[in-house]
Amino acid sequence: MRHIYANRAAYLLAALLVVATALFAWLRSEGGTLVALDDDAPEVTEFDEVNGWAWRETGEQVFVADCQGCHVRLTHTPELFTAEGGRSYLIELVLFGFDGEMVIDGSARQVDHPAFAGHDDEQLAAVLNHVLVSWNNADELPEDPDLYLPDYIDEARDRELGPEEVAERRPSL
Amino acid sequence: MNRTVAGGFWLIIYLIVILSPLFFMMIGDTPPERPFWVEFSVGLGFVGLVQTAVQFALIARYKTITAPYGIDLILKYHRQIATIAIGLLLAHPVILVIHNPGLLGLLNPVGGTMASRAGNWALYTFILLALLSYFRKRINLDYELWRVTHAGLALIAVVLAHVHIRLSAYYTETPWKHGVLIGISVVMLASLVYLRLIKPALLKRRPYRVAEIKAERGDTWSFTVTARDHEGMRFRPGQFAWLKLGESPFTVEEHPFSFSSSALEPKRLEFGIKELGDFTGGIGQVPIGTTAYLDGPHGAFSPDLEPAAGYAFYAGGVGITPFMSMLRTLADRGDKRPIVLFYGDKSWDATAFTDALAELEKRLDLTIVYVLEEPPEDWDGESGFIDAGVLERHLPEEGIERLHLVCGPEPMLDAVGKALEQREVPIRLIRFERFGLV
Ligand SMILES: Cc1cc2nc3c(=O)[nH]c(=O)nc-3n(C[C@H](O)[C@H](O)[C@H](O)COP(=O)(O)OP(=O)(O)OC[C@H]3O[C@@H](n4cnc5c(N)ncnc54)[C@H](O)[C@@H]3O)c2cc1C
Repeated sequence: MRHIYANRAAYLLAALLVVATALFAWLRSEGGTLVALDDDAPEVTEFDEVNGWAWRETGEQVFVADCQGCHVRLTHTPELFTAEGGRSYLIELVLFGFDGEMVIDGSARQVDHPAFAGHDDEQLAAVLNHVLVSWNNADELPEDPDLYLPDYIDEARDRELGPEEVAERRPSL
Repeated sequence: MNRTVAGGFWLIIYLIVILSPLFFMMIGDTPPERPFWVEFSVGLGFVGLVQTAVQFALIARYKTITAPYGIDLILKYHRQIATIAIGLLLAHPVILVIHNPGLLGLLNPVGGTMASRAGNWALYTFILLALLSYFRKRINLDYELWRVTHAGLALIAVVLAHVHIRLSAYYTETPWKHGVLIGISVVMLASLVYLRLIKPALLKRRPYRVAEIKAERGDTWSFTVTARDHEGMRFRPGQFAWLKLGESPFTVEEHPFSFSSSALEPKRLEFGIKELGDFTGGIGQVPIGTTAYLDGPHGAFSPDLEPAAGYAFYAGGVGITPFMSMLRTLADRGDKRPIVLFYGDKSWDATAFTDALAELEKRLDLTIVYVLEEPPEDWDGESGFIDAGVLERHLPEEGIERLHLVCGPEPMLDAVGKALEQREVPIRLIRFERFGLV
């Protein structure tokens, strides 16, 4: 009864594949989770309020809900933020998305980043700030960084760029 | 190579191929780690994709791969494992969204990002393909049309999945890793080219000619082809071949039939074909002299592969054909081993090959037990179905181990399987052949 054995073999194989994948995920995430645990602990920083606006909690919520699926940590953001034109570019990136090439650590990648124009101004400003201060990014910010405020997002909405245009506006690092 | 060893060997190769992307993604340059569930989901995506790609090689009828298992088993396995693969692929977005409900928008087939769109469409294509296969008979989808659609959709889905991976650009940012992934798929898809173009081109050099068509009882025809200027086909009794009729071996219309003639005559091959549908319905009217091509031999249902001290054959209806070949071959070889043949059919008038079987009874140590569903009035043989009672009365109590070979319609296979179980025949001594491959 080869067929009976074959049925069992198929289930066994399926189970084996799932277990192997879980092992892969564990190996690939263990470091990540440990790092993330340290880093996720909210660092109490001097930046917690911008002009009296407390953004921390919103920023973290939005990041967990909408960014974490793809980004575990973003460590290039302060560099972009301080580059020429980078400050508005980051707003445009989250508002209008990005479709084009990005050079990261010297290698070019084709990137397709979703647009989050549907979020409100507070959420977007807060999440950008969250990225700017998390994972020790805050150390790389200038003395008085002028973090994002909801108004800045509001202003940028009028630009109505396409994701390809955003790609062209990315400062080169 | 011994069949068990060969079987195990291919299984290990299969696992290595399927799991290799996960291994490659972990070594060399790796992108930053992500949470467990994200990596798990992505891993399932890779495994699922390679597993679907491997299906192309699985169904390409490579004899070295199918020989240890039998192609019917491979096709059954194809169905199961492809379903599992699509399940894994489905789990990929589902886990991502459960882990992070904010990603729900990515499931929108016309929204999200280019990457997510390609992924969604790949998945929908796979699901459509699976549904068409499961419900083909119920929605009366023509078999040939289904086959072309099946291969086409599979091809589209695999390509879309690769577009999705390319655009998602995470692990595949390292060029050689991306190359490995694409390479696996390309090698697998090449099997389709082999099956549909290269193999038919090879068959073209080995044409056959329809030499004789004889009506048997029970809407069955003995259909004989002869090799045209080549040495024919060496097969093992019980094996089968895909038959194509007409000048072109590139046709999609091909049907599997068991050889019914003696394996000692490789140049003159006979099939017993029962009228059942479009193709088989017209088999009696095929003009003599028509060109035919045979893709074969295939199958692992043969006493030659498993020598035993004696045999018990169980045939239901047209399931008699592989046994005709076995009996004719054994008779030609002067085989002395004891054989019992249980042969079930509707009525005596619907039972094919009775005359030929009577001749074979004289040449072999053969006992035939006919079991008729609707016996004639003066019938003193068995009636009803082949069941435990029939076996009880006719399977000799003996010191030898017989191999039990069963071929017929699905309900008959189940019934005989059960009867053998009641008789405590060990599973290792039972083999089934299914005519319902698809
Ligand atoms: C290993 C094997 C050995 C077989 N040996 C014999 C034999 O010796 N004698 C015999 O009469 N029949 C045999 N069959 C069955 C035979 O292949 C089908 O009856 C035939 O293909 C039906 O085609 P059709 O167009 O006449 O019928 P249709 O009405 O088109 O099809 C009826 C059903 O047969 C199946 N079928 C149709 N085409 C194919 C195909 N190309 N490949 C596989 N299945 C198909 C499908 O499930 C379909 O729904 C065998 C089948 C297999 C798998």
